[in-house]
Amino acid sequence: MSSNLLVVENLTVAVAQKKIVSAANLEVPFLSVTALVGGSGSGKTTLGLAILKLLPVGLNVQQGRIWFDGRDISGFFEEKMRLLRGKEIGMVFQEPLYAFNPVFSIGDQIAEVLRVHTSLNLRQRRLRILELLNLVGLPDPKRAAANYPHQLSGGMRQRAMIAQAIAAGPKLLIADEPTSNLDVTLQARIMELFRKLKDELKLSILLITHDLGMVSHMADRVAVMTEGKIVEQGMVKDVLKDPQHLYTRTLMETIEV
Amino acid sequence: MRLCEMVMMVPGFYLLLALRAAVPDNFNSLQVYFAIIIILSFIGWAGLARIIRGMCLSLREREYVLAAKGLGLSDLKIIVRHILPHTLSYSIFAVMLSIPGYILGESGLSLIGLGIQDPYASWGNMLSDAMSIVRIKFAPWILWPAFFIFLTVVCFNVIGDALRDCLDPLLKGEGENT
Repeated sequence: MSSNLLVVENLTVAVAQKKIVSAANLEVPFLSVTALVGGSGSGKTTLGLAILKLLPVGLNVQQGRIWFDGRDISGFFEEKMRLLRGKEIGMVFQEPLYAFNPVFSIGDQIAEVLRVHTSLNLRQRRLRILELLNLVGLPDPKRAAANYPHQLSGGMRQRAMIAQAIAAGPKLLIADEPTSNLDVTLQARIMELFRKLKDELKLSILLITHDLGMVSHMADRVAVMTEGKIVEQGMVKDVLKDPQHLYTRTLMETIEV
Repeated sequence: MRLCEMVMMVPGFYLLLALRAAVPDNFNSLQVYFAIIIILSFIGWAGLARIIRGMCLSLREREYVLAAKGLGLSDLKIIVRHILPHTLSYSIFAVMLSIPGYILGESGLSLIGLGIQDPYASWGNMLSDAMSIVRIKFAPWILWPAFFIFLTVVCFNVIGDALRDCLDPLLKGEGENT
């Protein structure tokens, strides 16, 4: 328990009687990159959202506990969760174009997070925004901050999104398919960025993805999910060397690792 | 929202007449004028409210609302910062387009003598002089108020249209990207 930042115990999420995630157990150790791998519709995104209690209306957590940083957050109400979101758990969404509000500039939207979670004043916030945008590798932070989401390219948007997610200094970053809309070279660069941020900011990352190739490069631990169940979990090299579950083997056959 | 529908169900002009009848006779024109405004807004809010509600219901499913929630913003902040601004362009447009409606409503009331009374001028009560064909024959210039009402209504419509074109962020964004 003590070496894990996030522990999901026996979590079941269901809509009406149909289970989307059934009895999932997941551990994210401190300062690790843990990958959650699965095909489309396997429930991996739902699991990610369930951790933050951002499930869409109709989906309910039926049972299970979520431990974050030694606290049981499964019983937290909205108000306490709000302090957790952004501040301690950051989330990077799949499509940064939709995850930004089109009518505010990037800088504004990062400032919003800082305003909620920190006590910085206007000038300090401005400096911090430039610092963050620089940290995620945007070439011209000043311009990027003044730009609107549609003015940035896909890769830059994703970087801006990451800057927003780490703005308040979270301990855990949940990245939901952060690279699936980018081309291969960009994917590699964004992944590099995640690695860098992890070391510099002492982050732990839960990487939700369907790309085993990326997992083998990036992650320390991997959990394989299919049809709402986590069927295999362990260190990446062990799992990939000797996959126990049929589904993991099928996944591996589809790509060259 | 049922309340909105009930308000919308009542035919506007007749309710206007009925409510106007409830206003005491000894009001002077200024008071009558404000009474008319209150009555008009009382029947006018429902349509816009319903549309804004519908827009909010659709906007709250947007991914950036989820993202904003994921960043720890409170519901109020999300409503004020991320949902209402998107309804603003429509609201301005709708307000612009409804101004002519109210002008017409006021003129209509004044025309039939229920609105603004004589010492005060209104296009409506000026036009009420033009209600008989004989007068128009001998003094055709008393039809001018009708022309001005027409002009004002058209102007507000054009302004409303132009405003929407330049305010709508989505239309703008589409031009520059993709």
